[in-house]
Amino acid sequence: MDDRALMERISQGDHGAFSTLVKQHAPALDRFAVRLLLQHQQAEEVVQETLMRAWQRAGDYDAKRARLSTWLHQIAHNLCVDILRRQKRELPLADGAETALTLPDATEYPTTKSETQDRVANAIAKLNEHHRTALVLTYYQGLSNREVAQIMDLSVRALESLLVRARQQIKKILEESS
Amino acid sequence: MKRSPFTPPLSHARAIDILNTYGAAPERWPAQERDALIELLKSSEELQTVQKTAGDLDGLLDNWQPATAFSHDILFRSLPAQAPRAQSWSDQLTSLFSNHPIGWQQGLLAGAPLILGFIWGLSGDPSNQDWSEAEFLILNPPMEVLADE
Repeated sequence: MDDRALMERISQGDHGAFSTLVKQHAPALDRFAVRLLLQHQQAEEVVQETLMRAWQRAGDYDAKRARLSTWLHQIAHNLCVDILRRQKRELPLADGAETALTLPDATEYPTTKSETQDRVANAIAKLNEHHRTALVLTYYQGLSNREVAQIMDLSVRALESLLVRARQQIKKILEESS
Repeated sequence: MKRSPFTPPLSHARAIDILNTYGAAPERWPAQERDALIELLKSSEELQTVQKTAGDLDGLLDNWQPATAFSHDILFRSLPAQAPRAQSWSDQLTSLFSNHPIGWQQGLLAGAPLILGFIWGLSGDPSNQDWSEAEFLILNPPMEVLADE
């Protein structure tokens, strides 16, 4: 079933179609939210809210404008950004701290205990919101550059600029930590 | 791999940009530039070195695979009982007026001339002959009317 047909059925209240959507998209949305928020509980709330909105607004989905995956990531991204900005407001950065966001303790990072994983997770955690989002969407979520630009409401050129800087920063952080 | 005649040529500088931006794996490169970059890589040792460096970072990034534990049950428990509905034009119109307690009355008042005009229109278009007859009677009153005056 294609995206348009699936969302049409969901807009008619078809629980089976919604179950298909959840099975197809929830794991990717969860990984996205976990990587962006670095916290399981908030990530799960984001996924739940994203899917609830998909259920409620299924009639608004326009397959001509975006793939379903892109549309769902866009909803999840907006929810994550709200959380990250709220965190930032609640715990303002120290002067001169350009990159670090307020993040959970490193022990909460959703990784296994592998040292490399922890290093990478820490490095990604030190990126600012835009760099991390660009990297996670492009690198881990398997979306095209145009789709990521659409989700982040940027031009492709601006996205590429973020990606280059994100990779440079991670490389630097990893080199410093090794 | 044969390049499409419509594929724009890729500059060396752009090839380096792509590798530094998207990493070493072709599946992450922009689709419209992928074939051209693969071709360029075959003949450029410098690009191959940039790709290898990008690949080293990719290898580290690939390590980060967070475990997910999303519970589908929670979601289904919280689904609203009623079916979602695609908003039809009549729903949108209803919600537009129902958001304001006296909105529908104002809407009705504002729309009354339109409704009356519509009904009048449906009741039949007076023929040209009718009007010409009326016009004729005004301009040429019957003799008895003239006599009364």
